Amino acid sequence: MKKLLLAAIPVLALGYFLIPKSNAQTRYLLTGSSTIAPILQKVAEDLQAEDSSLRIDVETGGSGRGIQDAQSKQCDVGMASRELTAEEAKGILVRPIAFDGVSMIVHESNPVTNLTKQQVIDIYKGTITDWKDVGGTPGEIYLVNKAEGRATLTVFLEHFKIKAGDIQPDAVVGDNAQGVRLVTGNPAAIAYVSIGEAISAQHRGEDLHLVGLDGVSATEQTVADGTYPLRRNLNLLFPGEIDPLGQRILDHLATPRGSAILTELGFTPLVAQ
Amino acid sequence: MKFAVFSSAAFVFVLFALMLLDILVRGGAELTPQYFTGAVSDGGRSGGIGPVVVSTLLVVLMATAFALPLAVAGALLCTELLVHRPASRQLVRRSFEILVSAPSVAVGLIGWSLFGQVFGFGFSLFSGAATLAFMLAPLMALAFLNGLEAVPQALRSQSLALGLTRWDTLVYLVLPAARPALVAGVMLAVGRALAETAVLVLTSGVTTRMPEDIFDPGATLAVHVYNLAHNVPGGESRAYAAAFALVVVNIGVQLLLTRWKPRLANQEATS
Amino acid sequence: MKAVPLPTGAPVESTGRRQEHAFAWALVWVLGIGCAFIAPALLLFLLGKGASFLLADERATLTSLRWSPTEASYGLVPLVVGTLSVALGGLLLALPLGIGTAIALHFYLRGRLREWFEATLGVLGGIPSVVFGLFGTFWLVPRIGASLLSGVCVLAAMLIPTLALLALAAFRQLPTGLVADGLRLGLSREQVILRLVLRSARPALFGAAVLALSRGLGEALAVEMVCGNVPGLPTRLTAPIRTLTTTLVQEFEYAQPLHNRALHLVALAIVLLAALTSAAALRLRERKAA
Repeated sequence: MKKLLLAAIPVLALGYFLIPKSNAQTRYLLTGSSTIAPILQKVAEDLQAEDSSLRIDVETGGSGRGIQDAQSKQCDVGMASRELTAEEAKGILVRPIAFDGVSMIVHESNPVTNLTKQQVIDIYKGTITDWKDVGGTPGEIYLVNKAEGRATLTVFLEHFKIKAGDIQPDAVVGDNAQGVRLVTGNPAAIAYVSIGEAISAQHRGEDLHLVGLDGVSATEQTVADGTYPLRRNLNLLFPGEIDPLGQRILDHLATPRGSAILTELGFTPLVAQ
Repeated sequence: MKFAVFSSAAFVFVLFALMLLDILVRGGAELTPQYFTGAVSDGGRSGGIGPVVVSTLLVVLMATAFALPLAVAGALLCTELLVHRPASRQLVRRSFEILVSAPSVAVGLIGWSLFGQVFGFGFSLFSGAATLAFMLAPLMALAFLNGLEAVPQALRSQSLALGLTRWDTLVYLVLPAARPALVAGVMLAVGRALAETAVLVLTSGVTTRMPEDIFDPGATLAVHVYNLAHNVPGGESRAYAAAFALVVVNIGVQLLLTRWKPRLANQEATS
Repeated sequence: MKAVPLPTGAPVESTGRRQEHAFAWALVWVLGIGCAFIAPALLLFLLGKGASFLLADERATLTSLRWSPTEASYGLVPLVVGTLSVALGGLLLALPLGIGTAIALHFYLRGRLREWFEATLGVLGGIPSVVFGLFGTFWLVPRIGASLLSGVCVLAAMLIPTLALLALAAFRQLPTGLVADGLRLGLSREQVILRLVLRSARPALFGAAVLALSRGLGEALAVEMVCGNVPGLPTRLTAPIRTLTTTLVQEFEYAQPLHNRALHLVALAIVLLAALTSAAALRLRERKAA
């Protein structure tokens, strides 16, 4: 009997978790790009701290999902880290909230700090295979590509006019973080990631640096003033008119606090603060 | 010959010893009580694994709880209800065996598809537990079956002869007689649940936030190790720490099992 | 259990009060059937979703050599080749080590020492695969790269304990006098093992190998952490590969509807491969030693 009671205590304690704290009616759902998700995560935390009756959930699933869910009204707001096609944008209000760039990253020890557009194309198509051909220390280039379905892949392919089939990578990664991972672990590696992620990694002291494109270095500044060529909008997608909470989110992002969130994560606010 | 086989055996044991030692050395230092209760910070690179512990407990307990009645009923189906139909019994047994040896990543996809997408729960502890229950139920059912079949038929027939109903015979005589096997079956399932990673990565996610309820996503210990090792830059030392905790728990459960039922301990597949 | 004398005239089985527990038995029926139907239900789900992919035009690409959903090419061939190469490679590497260990334990060690090592093997076999993936990531990959070879090594490490234990079980099932008879005939211990034992245990050992293979085919995470994840036909051991299982892990979350359905076919392929090999293994192990 005593054993039963003893076992019952932790079970009851865990029973606390069986009570749903929110349901489909009361929660506000954002889905989509994993690049944008951390931003909205922080916004959600701020708003929920101000108003404890709010329940905002942020789920990833990729820009594709964000677009789809906004179309089918399965979420309250979709998140997409690329532009929508005319077909995709039907019936949806698109509101950009920040700029993000996509940049090549290499290991800290790699002397290469800039690549021309053509060089990037050649490297990814496999025409250039050795670092010495682009000004680095001689050695085979370890090519890292992004997995299918990622918006960053789409943005990259579009800008450089490369087809997915042209790339023969040495490794394929899923998230931006995995790309950072591979590069910091391999001095011969090159990958492309969201600039936000790369800059965050640098703040953390990871062994990497961003590679400039056509003479323009990849920094928050160059992304902000538009001189860095590979830039994309981070978009929030509203399936119809913007509701009050959605507007609150947009407003929050426009405040200094909102800008701070964006810059902390390495993105560039739309509104200069 | 003697040299060859001994060197291969030596190689194997030394390899594993080195592996375990490596985890101990690289991960052991981090394990303080605060580690187990503290919040996760910086994506897992620092702080503790408190939320992970909670998620793990929730998933394991829920999955076992979901699976237990199914497993008991499944075993009883064979031993009590299909007693006179050996062909059906064999079919049911096959069904259990198939699921036990099924690749867990495929079950994980089904869980994601079914609970995450069709039912709309997304990444959640609930989806993880329900999917895991699919795998644990047949596992336990098989263990229970073996235990129940080992109970001598004489027990049943004599009890019935005395006038007890089949149900009472079952509940008050047969089940208690099979208790070691029942306990072993549950422990087997718990051990499997703790080691399972693929299924949970696809259903309960890799989030390290403290879950508020079972419909939140949450990483269990094994999933956390995977996440730190694979997805989080700079997560190496933390991955080792979590792996150490995982291995200690895992070996602990296995040792407990070998004490109860030496034969069952060698069978399970984990992935 | 003490035998109780039957009361004279008492019915052998009481039926009178069965109605009282009808609900309980009904519950057992329902839940029991539910439990038994889990496997077929899951299979049907996979079939259903996978079959809906077959309705699309892209189904023609299933036999192609390219797996690239963004370009609407869903060729399963490179994935299957990847799966088979990793699993077979892992098995080939694990076999000599596993069987060698089993031979050492069974024929050259006695008593307590043997028991202890055997128990250790059992425990090692139960270590979660992520731990092996952990080592692969931080120890193997920096040295030999994320490739087929790394996958093979990690998988081999995982399969060795299981193989050794299964081989030990096979040796135990040999006729007891076999070794003694062989020695008495004048064969050296070596020859007894090589010629007699391995020969007799061959079906069982084969079965063990195939069983280990089926585990290797289903392994997902440990392999995903070390093999590079590039879908394509591996031209050399150090090339990165992608297997059926790692494809699921990498692409499940972001897959659009058509891609999603194709992934169910991938899962189906994994299940079929694993099922075929374990059925074969069962058949082999049930065969008596020659």
